[in-house]
Amino acid sequence: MMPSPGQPRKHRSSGPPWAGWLFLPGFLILAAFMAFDPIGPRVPDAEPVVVSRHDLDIGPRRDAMRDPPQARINGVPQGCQDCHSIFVSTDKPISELSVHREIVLSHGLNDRCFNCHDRNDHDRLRLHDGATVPFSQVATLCAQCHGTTFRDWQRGTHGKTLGYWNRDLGEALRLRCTECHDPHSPRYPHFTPLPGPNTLRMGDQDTHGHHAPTRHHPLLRRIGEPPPHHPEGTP
Amino acid sequence: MRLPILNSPSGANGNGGGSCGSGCGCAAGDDGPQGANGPGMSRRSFLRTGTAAAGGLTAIAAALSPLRELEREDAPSLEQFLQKHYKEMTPDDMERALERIRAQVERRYGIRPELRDYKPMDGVEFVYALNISRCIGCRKCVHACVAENNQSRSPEVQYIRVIEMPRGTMDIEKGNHHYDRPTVPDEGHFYLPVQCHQCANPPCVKVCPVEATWQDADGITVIDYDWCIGCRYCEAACPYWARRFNFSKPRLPADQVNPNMGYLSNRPRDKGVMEKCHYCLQRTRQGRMPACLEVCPTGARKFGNVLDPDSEVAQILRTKRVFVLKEDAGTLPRFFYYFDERYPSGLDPEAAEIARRLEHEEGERYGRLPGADGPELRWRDLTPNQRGTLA
Repeated sequence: MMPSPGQPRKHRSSGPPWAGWLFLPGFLILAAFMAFDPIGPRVPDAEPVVVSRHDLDIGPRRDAMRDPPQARINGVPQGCQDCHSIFVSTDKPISELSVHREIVLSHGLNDRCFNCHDRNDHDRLRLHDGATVPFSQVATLCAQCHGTTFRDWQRGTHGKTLGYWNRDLGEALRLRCTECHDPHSPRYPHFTPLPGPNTLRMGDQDTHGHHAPTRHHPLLRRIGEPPPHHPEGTP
Repeated sequence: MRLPILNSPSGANGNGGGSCGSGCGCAAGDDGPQGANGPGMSRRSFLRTGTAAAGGLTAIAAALSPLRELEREDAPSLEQFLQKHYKEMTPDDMERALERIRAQVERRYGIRPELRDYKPMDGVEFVYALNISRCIGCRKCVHACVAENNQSRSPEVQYIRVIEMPRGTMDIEKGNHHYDRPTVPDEGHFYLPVQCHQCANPPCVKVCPVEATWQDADGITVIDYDWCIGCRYCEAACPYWARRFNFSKPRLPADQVNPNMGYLSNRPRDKGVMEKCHYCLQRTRQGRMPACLEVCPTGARKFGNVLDPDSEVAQILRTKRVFVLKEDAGTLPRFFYYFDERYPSGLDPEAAEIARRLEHEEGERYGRLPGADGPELRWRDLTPNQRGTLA
């Protein structure tokens, strides 16, 4: 029945009279939910990865042979000439040598010592034209074959530079060929990579390229096995 | 008794006091025995109003309950609150700020830091160059950076991403951050480390609403962590995903704190601020090399002053083939990728075979290379045949 014009209009437009009371428990449940926070932090922090200081060494990758060269024979440092003034070396390929078997020679087609070492003075290296250079100038020897790399090294665009970029404030330390490359096996070795990022936001990337899921996959870790690195359980 | 809470907007309609007018939504007008024109509020109305108010207040209190977790350290001190913008601080202001931060670091980590405000050097513009022919993806740079720059260890904040890319594409969508091989490099991939490119036209600086980040004279884009409001606009603006946000309180073990700190660089950050690579300005503005470069085992990373024509980076820009990431974004990065034209790190069997052949045949044919014993290899002295061999 519509209200007559003179009568005050019933001002409840819809719903039963108790409907407003529903707000109260709603508020209280919401209040309890927020106050006690039953869900807790949605993304627990991952355990930090541990990287040893040894992995972050900044020095030369390997110790270059000192000049004059030395070898440890039975733990005693010996100069090359100490033995080779007595023993005559041979022209045979390295596979037929009976000494220096610890040397792995994997340097292109080189298979003979005297391609680089001097036959007479074992403390020096021999260039193609017969001249000799000391071990400290090994770059001159390498440059005979690796011209572009030598050029780049001279310019500073190949090789590692430690120390100061600003020559006025400190010295720059240019590493020499043999401080990174083993002259007998100069190809760079493979490294074990340090742990990858541990962020959820980067999403499902590990399966790309048909590779097996890996231990750095944060989402798989939640449903799969515990990770080998952090058994405490990263997300 | 009158409660103003449920008063109708039409309270001035002349029917007196706090009672409801006829247009309002409340039920007081017809529930109580005293009716709409009664002198006070009905019992029912009072209870309803009171409980609703109590519930509402409880809800507000609960909504504010996360504030209980605030620690004393989370709130800025009055001094920090009143600190001026970096560019408006006098030397005295800066010294006070540095002293405040030193005390804060000492309180949190038990270490008295060597904290300074490093200024750009005159005549210096920093440029980074990275040889993707040499990068092997070992991630040492990532972790050396974390150790140097006091990032949060958990949650993890890292400035450098190393992306493993399939050979033959530059589509970064095909890259993988999470490669986890027993050894690297993998034959079918190359590695693309990405960090802040210190753009000459930085979109992140343009979007900052409070000027908490800006480009310094030596090209480094810096952040004042005391001025950042954590809106993350810069993170969205950066095309290189270089900026990181501290979503929660950074966790940094006290025994891993690097005490050599800069105000704009690697001092410990707080929750809710942005951070990013700053070319280790606490090192580089003293003439030293960035940490990521020093740790790189292959020498793939090069850093220096591009305004010095003899610097390594200037040589690279002159003589190498360089490219920048997302050149079309117009950001003018100061971070260049370059590569070697031949000898691609021995990974490509075909190229390695060519290199081996050249080393032997041509090396013998030409004998000693010009300049092999001199200080410099002079390109103009070479015959065309020799240039063909070298280039």
